[in-house]
Amino acid sequence: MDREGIYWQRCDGGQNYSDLDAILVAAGDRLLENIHRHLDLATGLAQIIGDPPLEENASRNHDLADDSCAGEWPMGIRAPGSANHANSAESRYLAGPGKALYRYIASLINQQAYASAKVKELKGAIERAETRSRGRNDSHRGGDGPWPLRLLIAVAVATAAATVYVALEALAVGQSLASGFALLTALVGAGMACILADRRLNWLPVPKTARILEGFLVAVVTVLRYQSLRTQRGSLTAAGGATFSALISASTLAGIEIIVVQTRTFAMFLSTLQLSWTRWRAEVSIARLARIEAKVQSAADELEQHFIVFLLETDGIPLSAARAEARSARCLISIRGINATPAPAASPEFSAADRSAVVIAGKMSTVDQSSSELSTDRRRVFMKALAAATGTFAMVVTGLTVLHAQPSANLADAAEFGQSFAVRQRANEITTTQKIVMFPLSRYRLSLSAKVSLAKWVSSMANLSPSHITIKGYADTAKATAENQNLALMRATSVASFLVAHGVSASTLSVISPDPVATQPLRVVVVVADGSSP
Amino acid sequence: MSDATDSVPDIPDDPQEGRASACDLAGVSTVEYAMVYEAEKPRLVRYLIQLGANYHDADDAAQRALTQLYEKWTTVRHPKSWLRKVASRELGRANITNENPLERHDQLTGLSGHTDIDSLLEEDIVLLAIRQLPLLQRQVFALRFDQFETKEISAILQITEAAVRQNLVRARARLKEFLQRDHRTGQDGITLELEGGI
Repeated sequence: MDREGIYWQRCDGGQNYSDLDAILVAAGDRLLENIHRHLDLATGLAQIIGDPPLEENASRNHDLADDSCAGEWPMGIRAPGSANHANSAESRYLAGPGKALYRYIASLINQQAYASAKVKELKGAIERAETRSRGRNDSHRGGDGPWPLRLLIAVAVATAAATVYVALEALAVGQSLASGFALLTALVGAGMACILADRRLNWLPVPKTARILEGFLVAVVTVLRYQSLRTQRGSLTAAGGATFSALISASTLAGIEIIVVQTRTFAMFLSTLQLSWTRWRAEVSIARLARIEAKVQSAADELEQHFIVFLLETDGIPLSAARAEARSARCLISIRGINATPAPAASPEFSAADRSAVVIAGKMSTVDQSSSELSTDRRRVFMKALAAATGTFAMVVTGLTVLHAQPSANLADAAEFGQSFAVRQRANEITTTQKIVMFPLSRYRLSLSAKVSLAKWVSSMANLSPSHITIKGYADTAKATAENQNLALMRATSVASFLVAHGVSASTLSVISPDPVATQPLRVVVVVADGSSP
Repeated sequence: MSDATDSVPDIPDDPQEGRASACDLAGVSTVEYAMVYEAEKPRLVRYLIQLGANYHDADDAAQRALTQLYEKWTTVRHPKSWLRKVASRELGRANITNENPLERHDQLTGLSGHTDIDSLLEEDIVLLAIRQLPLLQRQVFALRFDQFETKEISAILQITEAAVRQNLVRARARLKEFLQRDHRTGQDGITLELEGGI
């Protein structure tokens, strides 16, 4: 029973509602998770305070390589400046007449992201299926005949059994005995054929005795057929019938052997089916993605036109200015980030080991070297401006910080510069790093997002083997000192427990609450010292 | 939905309400507001959904309440309670005055307003059970769910503490009855969860 459940019990005078509590709490958590998935907290907060949301992860190991838009305004909405942005045209439009359209575009962009991920996943699945299929093809010893031909083996066995039954019909004591013996004989013949085929597949010589034995089997069955038919029809008919049946028996045995040698295996057949199925799904997903992209463009066109009308009606600005504003709004809303090009994986050292930086190579006219600290939205606008201008640049970004930006002769040079810079940077920054985990007021339990963020951080720190990790807990501002001390320690302890549960050695951890009056409220700071640094 | 909002207690716009002393507010900053926003908005939306709102109405009402909180940040002493009162009121207002012509003008093909999260909500049997409670019980229940004390609930809903307790007991009894009935009728989703037996 978690804390909320106990709380319920206490409030109800000890009545036993524990199962009901569990159901209600679980349902409430589910509902909260669904809401979390759909809520656009960053945009909502931007509409009120005009600044990006608080970066929960202030670590320099911010995982930009996985998602270069992490922590930014969704859909690239430009946060208004420090002035009362609630009065800006975009804000008024998006909060008013453009809300439905914006939601529609937001929904489409979410769908687009999902479809894009699906396509990526299916491409991976195709690669895996192709590899598997190729491996099976490589190890296959026989021919390339389709597997369904092997179904003819059953027909051949049935035919052989039928001819043997004819041979035994008149000679055997009863029909069941004749049928059983006929089936057994057919199976023995098919088995012999399969054994011989297997030897051929393994490039082994087929012994002459095996062929003689096969011929002997056919001969015995032929003689029996002759005897059986002579009893019923006379010598001439019997001789003809027996000869014909002998041909059938020999053909079935030879046919089974050839089919086994010349056709693919069932596993190969399944691999081919799976590959075809995956390819078909990928084609469907690609088509869906294309449809969604077309819808996004269409909705963006509509938004642009609608915003122009809105600006003309409400602000009374000139048409050309309205067009420019609308164009800008359209780009920012409908395009998820600029066409940033992550550095190509030319350097395995960079791509595999350095997950803290992303290199953006594009075109620009000038670079503001002084803008080393950019808020996420401004960074987006900055990069977009760079991308839209002429010239080539290289820029290394970690978290919210533009570490370095400089013009380059071409994109290849920019990418190369970015890689080497990032590798150098990484060597410097791993000495000491820190992670900040935020908590709601009066709470010490880690939220789901904090857990996810911490887990990512722990995995990114896996190869550092830190000598010491200090966990500093802070509490809230408006509380008594004793409460704060307790809360700070509880917060730090919950982070420590999480780290230990995720493989961090408990002996390297120390938990402190340095400032009970909370100069840095609502958070836990995890400081990692690498190597010999305490 | 209408009964969920029609009788939502109106909150007097008294600037003195919940005013904190300067000492209490020392250190309060935009960052803290942002943290309160991020922590409280999902819960506020859940509260409004439990009262009977659909997702988008709840989102809008919560956003308006949080906007007002930002404007009155230095005067609001108990943001959680204050937000729930104001959000309930905003939800009621939205239902009465949702006549924005621009909003209607902007409706596009395919924009039904019924989203996937609303579909999820409709399938949530526990939420359905909560929404079948009478308004006051629903409000008391939703507030208790957000870990408000009886005293706080009585202040928010302007009823006595005894009435809060009584409504809570009745709400839980009704919920239990509803979920057991639902279990007996064999609906999916809740069956497994009730295997322990209520």
